[in-house]
Amino acid sequence: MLEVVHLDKRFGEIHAVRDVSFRVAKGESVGLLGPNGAGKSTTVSMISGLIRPDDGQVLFKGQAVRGDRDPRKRKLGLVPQELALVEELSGQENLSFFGTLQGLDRRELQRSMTEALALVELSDRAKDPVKTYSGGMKRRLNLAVALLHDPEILVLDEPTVGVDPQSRNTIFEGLELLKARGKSLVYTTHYMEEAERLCDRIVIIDQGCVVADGNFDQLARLASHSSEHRLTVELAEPEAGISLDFLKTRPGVVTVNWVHGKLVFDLESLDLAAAVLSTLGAMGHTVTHFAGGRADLASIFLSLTGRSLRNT
Amino acid sequence: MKTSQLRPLVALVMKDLQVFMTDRYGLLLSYVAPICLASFMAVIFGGSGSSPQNAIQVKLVDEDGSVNSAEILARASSDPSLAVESLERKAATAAVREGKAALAVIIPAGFGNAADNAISGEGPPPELLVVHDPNHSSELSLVRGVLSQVIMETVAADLFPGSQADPALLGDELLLETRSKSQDDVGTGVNRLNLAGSGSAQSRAVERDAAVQRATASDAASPVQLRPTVSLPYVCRYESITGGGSTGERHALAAHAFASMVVQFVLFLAVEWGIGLLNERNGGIWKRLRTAPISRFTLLLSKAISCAITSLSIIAVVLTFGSFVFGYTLPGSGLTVLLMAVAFAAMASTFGLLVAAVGRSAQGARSVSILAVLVMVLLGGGWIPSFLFPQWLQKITPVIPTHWAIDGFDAVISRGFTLQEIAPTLMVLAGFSLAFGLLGSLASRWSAES
Repeated sequence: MLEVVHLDKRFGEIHAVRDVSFRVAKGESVGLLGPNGAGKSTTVSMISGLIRPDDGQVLFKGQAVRGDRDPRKRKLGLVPQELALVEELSGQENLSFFGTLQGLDRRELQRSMTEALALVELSDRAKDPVKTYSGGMKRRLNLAVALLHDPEILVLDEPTVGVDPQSRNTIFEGLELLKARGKSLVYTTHYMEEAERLCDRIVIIDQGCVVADGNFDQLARLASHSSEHRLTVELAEPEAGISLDFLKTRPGVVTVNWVHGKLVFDLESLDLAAAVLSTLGAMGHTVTHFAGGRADLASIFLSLTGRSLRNT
Repeated sequence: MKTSQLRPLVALVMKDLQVFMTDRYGLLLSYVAPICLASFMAVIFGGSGSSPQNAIQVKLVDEDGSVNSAEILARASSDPSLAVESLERKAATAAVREGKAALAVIIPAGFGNAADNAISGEGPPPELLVVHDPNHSSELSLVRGVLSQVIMETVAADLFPGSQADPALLGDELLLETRSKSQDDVGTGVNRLNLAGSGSAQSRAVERDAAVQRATASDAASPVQLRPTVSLPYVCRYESITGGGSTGERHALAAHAFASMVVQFVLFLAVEWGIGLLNERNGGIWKRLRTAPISRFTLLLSKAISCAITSLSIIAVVLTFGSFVFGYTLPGSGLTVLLMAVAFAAMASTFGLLVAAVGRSAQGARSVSILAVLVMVLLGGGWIPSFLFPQWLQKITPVIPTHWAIDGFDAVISRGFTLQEIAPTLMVLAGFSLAFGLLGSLASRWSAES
C-alpha cells in the first residue's frame, strides 16, 4: 500500500532523516516511535508531500505522487499534529469546507460528514463553533476531517497530544474501527502504550535513522533475548551494597540493572524468579515487592536506543 | 513601601521590561519606526536644508497676444515660485483636470488694453479666468498673490513708462488693495503651509509681504504719488474643475479625504489578510490544504479573491458613506469608479500575498507591513499634498502604488475622468497587481520546511 524508500532530508547542517525505509501493507497499522526531534514528523511530512525529500521516494501502490493535483493524493488522509481547523466555523462547516477541497460532491459530502461525526462522537455538537469545543473535541474533529474523502492510508502525527482520557479512548476506538475496515495507519507518537495498543508493527526512529522495524515480539527479541521474562524487585533499602556483578553470575540471569530505584532482571525463564528472590534474601536484603512479566516497549526502546523516550 | 512589597514590584516591572526587550518587532515599532518616519518627514520638509524649492505648476493661456499679456507671461515665468507653461485653453484646462497643474490662468483677448483703461479709470476691469483644482487650494492662494504682483508690475510699468520708480515697488503698492481684498484667502493658504511645514513657499510669501510693507513705509519718499483710491485693473473669475462652486470644492476635498483613507485602510486589511495566510501556512490548516488535490495557483488565487471581495465591500461602504454624509456625487460614469475599485482591490490583495510570502512571523510581518503602508500612503499624497514634497521625491512617487490609487480615486470621484482617461491608471495598478502577485507566488514557501 505505502512504500517509503530510502528517504533522506537535510535542513542546512542538520541531517534530519537518514535513509529511512519501511512499508505499510493494506490494513496494517505501523507506529513511528521516537523521541522529539528524531525525524518522525519530517518523515510524515515527506510521506504527505509537504516536504520534498533530498533523496528517496514515497510510493502509493507502487506509484509516486506527481504534482499538486495528482488524484493519488486522495489515497492519503493527514491528521496533522497541529489542530488544522477553522475555529470560527462550526464542526459541520469545517467538514464541509475540507471535504469540498477533496473534491466530494454534495451527496458524498453529506454522507461522509455524518459518518465521520458519528465515528468521533461529535454529531450532537456539529453545529457549534469549533472555538467552543474542548481540546479533546477539537482533536476528534481534527481526525474526522482527515476521514471525509475515505482515504486508504491515514497518517496521524501525534494525534492525541494534550487529550483527556475520554477523548483519547474515543479516538482509539475510532482508529481501531478504521483498522478493522481495512484502512492502513501510520501513527507517530512517543506514547509507548498507544503504540502497543494500536500498532501491528513499530518502526523506531532515532536521530533520523530507523533503529528497528518489526512487531513487538521481534523488537523484544532484537532488544534482548530474554526480555519477555522480566522480574522487577523493590528492596527495603534500595542500592544498599548490592553487587550487580555477583547477581549477573547467578544461573538464568541474563541482565540486571537498576531502573528508577528498582532491580530489573531479564531472565531466561520466569521459573527462575523464586531462585533469584532467595538469593537476594540470602544476601540479607528484604524484598518489599516484586513483579514478573513481559518487557514493555519503554524498556525495549531504552535497550535499543540507550536512552529513555520520555527523557528526550 | 516595605522591602517585602518592593521586591515583587521590582520583579514584575523587570519581567515586563525583559519581555519587551526580547520582542524585536516591538522594539522596531517603538524606536526605529518613529525615528525613520520623523527623519523622513524632516527630509521631505526641508529639515536637511538641501532640498531645492518646489515650483508650482501653472498653465498660462495667452489669448490676448498683446505686449502686456506677453510681459505678464514673461514676468510670471521668471518667478521662481512658479513653473509656468504657455498652452492653449483646452490643453491647459485638461492639465488641471488631470492633476498635472495646480491651476490654469487664461488671459482673454483684449485683456492688456482693457487693463490699461481700467487703471486710468477709462473702462471696466477685464476678467481673468482662473481654472483651479480644489485639492490644490493652498497653491491657488499663493499663485493668486504672485499673479497679482506680476500684473500690477506690468500695468504700472506701462502706466508710468518714464518713471524711475521700481516697477516692483509700484506693483507692490498697487497690490496693497488686492492683498486687503484677498487677505483671508492668502492667509488661509499660508497658514495651511505653516501647518504642513513648507519652508520655501512660506518664506517667499513672507518676503513678498515684507516688500509690500516697505512700499507702504516709503510712501512719503516715493517719487510717485499714488492715489489711495486706485483699484485693481482686472477681476478674477474662478472656475473649479469640479464645478458647483464652493460646495463642489468642499465635496471634492471630502472625496479626496475618503479616497485617501479608503486606500490606507484597505491596505491595512490586505496586510491582515496576508498575516492570516501566514498563520495558516505556519499551522496545520496549510498542511491540510497542501495535501488536498488542489494547485498552488488555486490556493493563492482564492486568497487574493477573498481579500479583493472584502476590499471592494470596504471601498463601497466607505465611499457611499462619504457621499451621503458629505454630499459628493460622481461626476462621471459609475463604471469608471467600479473599475478603479476593482483595480485597487486587486492590487491590495496581491500586496497581502506578498506580505504573507516574505513574512516569517505574524508579528514581524505586521510591524513591517503597517510601517510600509503608512509610508506609502504618505508618499502617495494621502495625508498631505504631494506638491509639498521636494522635487526629487515628487519624481519617485510614481513608482509607489498608493500614488496611483489615491490619484485614481480622486480622478473618478472628483474629476469625472472618462474610461479612456483613467485607463493608464488602471493599467499601472494592474501592473502592480501582477508584480506583487508574481513576487508573492515566487517567494512563497510552499513546503513545511520553514
